[in-house]
Amino acid sequence: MKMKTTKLKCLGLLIYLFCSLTPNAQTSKFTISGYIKESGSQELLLGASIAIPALKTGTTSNNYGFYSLTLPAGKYAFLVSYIGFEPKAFSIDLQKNIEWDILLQPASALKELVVSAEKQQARLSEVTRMSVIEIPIQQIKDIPALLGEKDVLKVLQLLPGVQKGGEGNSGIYVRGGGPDQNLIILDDAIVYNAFHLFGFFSLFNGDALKSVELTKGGFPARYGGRLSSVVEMNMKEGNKEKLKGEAGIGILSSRFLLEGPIIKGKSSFLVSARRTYFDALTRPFLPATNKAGYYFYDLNAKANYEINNKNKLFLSGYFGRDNFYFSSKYADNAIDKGGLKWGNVTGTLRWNHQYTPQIFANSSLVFSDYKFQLYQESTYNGSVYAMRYYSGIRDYTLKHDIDYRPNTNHTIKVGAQLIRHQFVPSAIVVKDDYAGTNQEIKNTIYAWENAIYAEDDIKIGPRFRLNPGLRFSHFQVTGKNYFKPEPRLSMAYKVKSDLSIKGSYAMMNQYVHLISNTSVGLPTDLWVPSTKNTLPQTSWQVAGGIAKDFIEKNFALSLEGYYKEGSNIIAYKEGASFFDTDPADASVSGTNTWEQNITRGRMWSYGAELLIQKKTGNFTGWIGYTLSWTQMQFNELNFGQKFWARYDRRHDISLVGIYKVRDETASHNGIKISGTWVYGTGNAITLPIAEYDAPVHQPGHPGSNFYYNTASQYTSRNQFRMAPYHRMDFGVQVQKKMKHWVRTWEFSVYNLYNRYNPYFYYIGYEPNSFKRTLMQITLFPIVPSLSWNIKF
Amino acid sequence: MKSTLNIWILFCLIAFSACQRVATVKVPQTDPLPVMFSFLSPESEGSAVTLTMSVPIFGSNSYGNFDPIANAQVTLSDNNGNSKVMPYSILNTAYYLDQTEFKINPGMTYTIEAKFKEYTLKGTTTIPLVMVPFEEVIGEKLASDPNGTERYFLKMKWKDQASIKNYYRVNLEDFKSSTPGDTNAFSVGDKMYSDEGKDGQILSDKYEYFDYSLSGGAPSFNAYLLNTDIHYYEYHKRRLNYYGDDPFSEPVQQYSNVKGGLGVVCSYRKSKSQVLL
Repeated sequence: MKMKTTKLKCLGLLIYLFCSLTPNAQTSKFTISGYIKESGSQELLLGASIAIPALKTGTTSNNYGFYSLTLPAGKYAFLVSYIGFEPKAFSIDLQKNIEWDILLQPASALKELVVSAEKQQARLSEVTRMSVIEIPIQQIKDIPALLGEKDVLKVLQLLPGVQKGGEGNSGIYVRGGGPDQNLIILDDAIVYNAFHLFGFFSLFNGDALKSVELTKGGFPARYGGRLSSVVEMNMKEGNKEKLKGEAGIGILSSRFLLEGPIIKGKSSFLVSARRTYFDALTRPFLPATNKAGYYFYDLNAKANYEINNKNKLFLSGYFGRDNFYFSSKYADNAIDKGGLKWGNVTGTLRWNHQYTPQIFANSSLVFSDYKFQLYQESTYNGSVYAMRYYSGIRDYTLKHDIDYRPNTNHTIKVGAQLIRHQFVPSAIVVKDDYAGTNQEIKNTIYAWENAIYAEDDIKIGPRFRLNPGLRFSHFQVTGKNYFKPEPRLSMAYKVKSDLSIKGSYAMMNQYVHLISNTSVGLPTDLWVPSTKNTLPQTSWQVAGGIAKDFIEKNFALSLEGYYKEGSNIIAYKEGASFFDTDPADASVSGTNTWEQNITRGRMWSYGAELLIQKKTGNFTGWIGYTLSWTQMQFNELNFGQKFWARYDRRHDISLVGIYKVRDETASHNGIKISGTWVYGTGNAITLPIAEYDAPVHQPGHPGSNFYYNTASQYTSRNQFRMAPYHRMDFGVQVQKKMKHWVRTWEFSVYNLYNRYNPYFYYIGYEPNSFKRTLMQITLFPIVPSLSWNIKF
Repeated sequence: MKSTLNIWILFCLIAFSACQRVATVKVPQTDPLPVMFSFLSPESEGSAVTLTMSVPIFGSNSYGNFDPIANAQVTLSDNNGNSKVMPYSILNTAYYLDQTEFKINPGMTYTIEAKFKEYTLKGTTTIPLVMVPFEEVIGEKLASDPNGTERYFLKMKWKDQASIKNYYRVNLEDFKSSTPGDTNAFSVGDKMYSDEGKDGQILSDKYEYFDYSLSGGAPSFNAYLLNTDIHYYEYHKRRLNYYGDDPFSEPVQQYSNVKGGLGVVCSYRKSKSQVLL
């Protein structure tokens, strides 16, 4: 009887959904659609809210600034709002389909109206999705950073549910997942190695970015391919009206950005670049016969062209390189040189097309390449011995996404994606003039990763919102095919106008893996595909929570709990390392050597996250707290027993505050102060506690004892906790309006109270003693920095 | 390749060496533990047991010195009720019994018990039933450089015993055919295998060998195939992958089947093939 009732309810719901999708024959409906843009620059605004207060309904602009509302014929008052912009109200008598682009003024132009704008912006309690955090780009620029290098990923580390890898490291660990389990997308292009300088800085130059969004759970069906998170970044298009620029000089690097119209109002460009000069500064201090140095640079570029109001083209790209090099000239005829190089290249061609006022489509053709190489060359009397080892991954992606908004109750997204992967887990080139050899051994694996998806954001009555979705993923590699359905569901129930209860479920699969046995995110970490032996990593996650907006006080609170399980999680076997993945071995044995070095296991992560966030006003920032547990189990690690993940962190707290003391005017300087404080339980590591005589049996010499037989006795895996990590950063920005530009001096201090946070431990000796003790290396004590920036 | 990366790591360590200090965190303390090792085999002349004590790291100034414990009472017994006390042999720096005094038989289970001070250690092993020979061992010269370096390739195969869980070790030692008795005690090849998923199948192994000796005369090899018990396999699988403590890598925890302490009591069957090039 109960089952019958449930079936009837399901049937009723289906009929309701069908009816709500079908046009009502008795009332004519029309659509108002267009783009929401910044007045002046014409920059498209993503996620802007457009509301019809009388109907208590509305929508938001999509990732390309497009909106569409289909309503019965009639006269409506609309209210459009977006963080940092003046709200705009207008009325339209909707008697036919209307194309209407909405221009919003930046809030700083009319400050007194900002307060009302803040109150009208999209509320957290009104959004169906959960576990999503959007960081305003201005906050990223205002938060103090190590050596003044503003870093998107380091700001994400300050959010609840996100752990950092180690001191200064930009790697992110979301809800117990590893750094390879984050899908990092820049203008639709997957970025495989998102770091410079061995993880100390991320690739992403905040100047060129328009939006950053982190999704930790409740993944919509349009995202897939990674288990733990999606970090989606979109670059600015470039100012369509006039030439604008920014430049900055810091201790570590300098940067500039230039944007402007190509054809006024129709087409624009943006170019942004950054380079470090540590190598140039140290060069005068090195002897003439020896050279060594390190630098990185990156370049972002984007151009767009509006063919007509229904068609837009965007071309964007990223190019970045890290280079560590050395060379020694021993004699006139003898030179040794070597180094490490790595970098990403991405390129995206996007075509936005509006089929009808209700149907918007984006097609993307994407190229992404990551390559690492290690080289060594010796020249003696003109005879060269050169060795080059390299690894990498190259993707060609074609994707098509459709955004269909039949009425105010549905936002339907469907799409398909094809990715051609080309993995080179290891390759080696050897040139030996003396031996007369010139050999290249390359181990290349090709794979297809494809997916189709559909999702619908549904409003059911005034209180309930639902986002069901389904993604089918397919991976094909060397004759092996994997087909995996991935159901997704998010829902929100509005208890009060400013309070909602949310829940979500997501199943994820990951077909490309990063194998690493280090904690520091070296570029030597290898990207490898799933194969018939290396199964896809899978996970499922449930989350529940509440979202409350404190409208009068301008802040929002979210409290979430989650439980996540993963299987086929990949790790290096004990003792295996990057150096075991010699392609020459692969050529001898005919197998992928990396596959022999990895093992599969399971993971469990659960916890609670609290975020109190204030995005607007003179004082902005957030308080984040995470309580979490993450455990792993591998048959071949820790004797098959469960162990804490290295980044299992029981408590993680972050406080972020930015206070605008005053705006700059012609007569006085603008002043902004900012500060952060973070605390985290120490990383879980394995520590040697004793040593003993552990002989290797010699079958040919049973009585011999030639080997060095000492081995360490350890705590069980990751049983020891490093000291807790905490740190305070502080920054002051002083802005002055000059004749042609606004100049900003920024002084910041990283680790204000000079906390000696351990980067790693090793066994050393007590001072003035031969007694052994635990020593720690601290990377960054108090680090002040100064930078100079202009904006015109 | 490794040296380039090491130069980079050294560069970082020097750059940050000013920030090293004694850790402020409480370190785990442990008491010294007794350590017992024995590798039993019907193919060896006798059975040896070594006893030492582990040395806690923190607060200790001892480094790599593990004096043998010579005053323990060590007993070797089998599952037929036979047992014999093992005397300490200064020559072997181990408790030792010749096979003529206590036979190690295939398929039998042996227990070694050691008592000294307040410690009692016990380890048990069952000797693998069969000795598995190589079906084929081939060595061939691949190339030689003008500077005299010669490159050799060795491959071997053997058939796994069906319906039994088997573990193997392949161990290679090189010697010059001109001085066949003078073998190199340092292995030139060492790998552990399990027959998981390959029960009853042909198993194989491959090695490359570079001869830099320039001494003339082709190298030759003793190839050992050990059919081992699980304890020998689990211990050596980890031990052969142990290269000391590296703060950037996950450490390799060593295996033990000794109750009351550390170490391993394990067994093997040994077959040998010689490759004369």
